[in-house]
Amino acid sequence: MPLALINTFIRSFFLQTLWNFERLQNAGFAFCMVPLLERLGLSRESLLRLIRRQLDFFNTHPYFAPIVMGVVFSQEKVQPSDAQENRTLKVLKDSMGGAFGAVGDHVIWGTWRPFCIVAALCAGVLVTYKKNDWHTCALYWITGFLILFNILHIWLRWHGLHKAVAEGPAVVRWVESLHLQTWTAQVRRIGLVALAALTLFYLKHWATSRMLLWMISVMLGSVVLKRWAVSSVFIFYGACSVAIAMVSLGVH
Amino acid sequence: MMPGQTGLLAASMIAGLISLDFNCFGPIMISQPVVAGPLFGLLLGNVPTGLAVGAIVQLLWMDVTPVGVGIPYDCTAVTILAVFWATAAPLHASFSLVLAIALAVPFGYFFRWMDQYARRLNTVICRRIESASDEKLPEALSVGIALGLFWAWVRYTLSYAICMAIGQKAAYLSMRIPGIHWFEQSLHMSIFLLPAAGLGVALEFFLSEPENRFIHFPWRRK
Repeated sequence: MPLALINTFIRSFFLQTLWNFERLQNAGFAFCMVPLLERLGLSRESLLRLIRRQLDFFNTHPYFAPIVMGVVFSQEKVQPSDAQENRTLKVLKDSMGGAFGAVGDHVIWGTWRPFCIVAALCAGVLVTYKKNDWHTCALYWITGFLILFNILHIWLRWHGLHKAVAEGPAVVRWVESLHLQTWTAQVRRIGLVALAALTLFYLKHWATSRMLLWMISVMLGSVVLKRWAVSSVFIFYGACSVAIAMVSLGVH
Repeated sequence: MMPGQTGLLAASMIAGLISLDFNCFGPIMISQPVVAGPLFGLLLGNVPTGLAVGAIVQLLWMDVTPVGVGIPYDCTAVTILAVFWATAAPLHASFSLVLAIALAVPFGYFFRWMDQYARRLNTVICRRIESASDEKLPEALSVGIALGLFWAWVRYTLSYAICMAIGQKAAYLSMRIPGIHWFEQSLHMSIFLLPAAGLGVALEFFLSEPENRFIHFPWRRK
């Protein structure tokens, strides 16, 4: 069993390789489930039928997908293998996929990723700002971000799969016990403070020049434009246009 | 320094590998600009450019995430192309750096469009897998995944090679445009303003959550 779990865990990294508009992650999900389903000890025909059943529509956050895989496996284990298509299991799979998709988008993409970015940026800048050592800064950004981000990512994939295989649908209680919403709010607050510190650190360099006013104007302008849902592309070209205007006005 | 054809091909192959993280493998996040920029800069021997491009693109496009079935703007491609063009450009560092990002920004849309079409092709591969007999289904799945991964890498590598070559030529030709040096000062100024704009975008991103909304905009619709 541990080998099947490791195999599924590794395969789960390929969940989105064949992402398509028709059934989204279906092929990746079936591919990941093969090692687990082979452990059910079914006849060859039943096993193949079961694998084909996994090709239905599926979509969730990639880091939470192993939890759904584990739940599907545990449910297939307790029900007769030759049963007709199990509607309940399909509904369970879809509803878990949708719920974990929403949680993952908010927790991972919306909070953990930006927080790790800000943390890595701050660490790199703080460690190297006096020395101008670009290589060290690059190493801090790359390793700092990747290690910090992937600790949670890998733990969630592996532990989630392990728990789901052992506990089945009751794994949602484990997810609930993580208090992700509370942690998310705290992490975002810490991230905001770190980002504010980074902003002040950046502005400090122009504290005695006329540039400071322009810097603050551009920054506040970006906040307002983003809040009005203006694309970052326009903000980028807008900042370049401000620079052209500044040079034309004789600001150096 | 202008890389030769072998250098360009090697760079595009590595860029293709980095981009696989965007939607094919993982994602373990090496495709994030804060990683892809310095990493590609290290590979090209131009770390400061990689850092600057990575930080600017990351901060400005902090909110880009693959939510639901939406295909996001490809800021990995913008980062990689900008680092390559800025490294290959013959001119003053900060001038060529901002020019490279400005040229690379539209390519984020091009790569997104390409990704949309690639996913349509994935539908064809999936249909072929589904049409396989029960006996061959596990093998069909493995071959399909391998094929999808290889096809994505080839697609990215070719696209990067073409874009890098075109951009290199465009950068050289742009130096001959009369009055281009007037822009030099402006683009040099942009290098200081762009991080400020990026920090503004990132601040707004963190402030957009209800629990962090210390600043209220009364005119904003709920």
